[in-house]
Amino acid sequence: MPTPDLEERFRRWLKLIAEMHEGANFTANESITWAPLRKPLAECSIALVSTAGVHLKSQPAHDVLNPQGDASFREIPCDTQASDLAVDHLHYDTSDANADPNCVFPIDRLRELVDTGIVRSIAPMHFGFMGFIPDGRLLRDTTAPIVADRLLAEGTDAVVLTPG
Amino acid sequence: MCHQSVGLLQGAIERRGITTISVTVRPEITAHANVSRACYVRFPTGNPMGEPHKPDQQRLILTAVLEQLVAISEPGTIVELPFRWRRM
Repeated sequence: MPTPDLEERFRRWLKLIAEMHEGANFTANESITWAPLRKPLAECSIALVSTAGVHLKSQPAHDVLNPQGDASFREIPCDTQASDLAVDHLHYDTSDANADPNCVFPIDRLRELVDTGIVRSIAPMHFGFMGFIPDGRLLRDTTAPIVADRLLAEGTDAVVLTPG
Repeated sequence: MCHQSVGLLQGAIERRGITTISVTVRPEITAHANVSRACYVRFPTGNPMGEPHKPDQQRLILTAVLEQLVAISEPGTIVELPFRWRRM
């Protein structure tokens, strides 16, 4: 990867979002940053970050109707059960994710991997975004650095990120 | 667009020195996101970690992703995981 087929699919997707969403601006990291894992998994604290639109049922949903998107995030504490979560997103079929949020945000599964010793611990805080943000600079320049700082302050060793 | 957002979050987190890996069901987007490590699962959008109420499948996928967190040694690698979508 990338293969010619992937390149063609990427070009088609860029054209589609430009036609559908005013102000769409594909944004990528300027370069690849590499932070090696410094200890075995069994000694790591792991966090989940998702753009699937996950939030606690007790929290307000993301603004799925705003054409500019919604770069805000929801804090999801480590003792959350998947059944405490709801998923809001208009750009994919959320029926499976609402039936079982572990399909997009495997917090129950991560807790089980702590119990079996595959990882040391589940990080104190996890973060839910709703990934429909047509101009990626909004996310890059506002909330992404805030969440990254929070994960660092909480001693998180590694993060698994999931889309919708 | 979820994948663009994952990529930007992943880059921001990795720049803090935290190791990251993302799951992708749209590798054509992830390939352009400049991320450190990713796992491609040939599943539909909305199911990157599997089917609802299939904890064994979900646990296998999460474990495989964590294994790649350790195994990937080349920046920018996207590894395809050997899971196949069976539900009709």
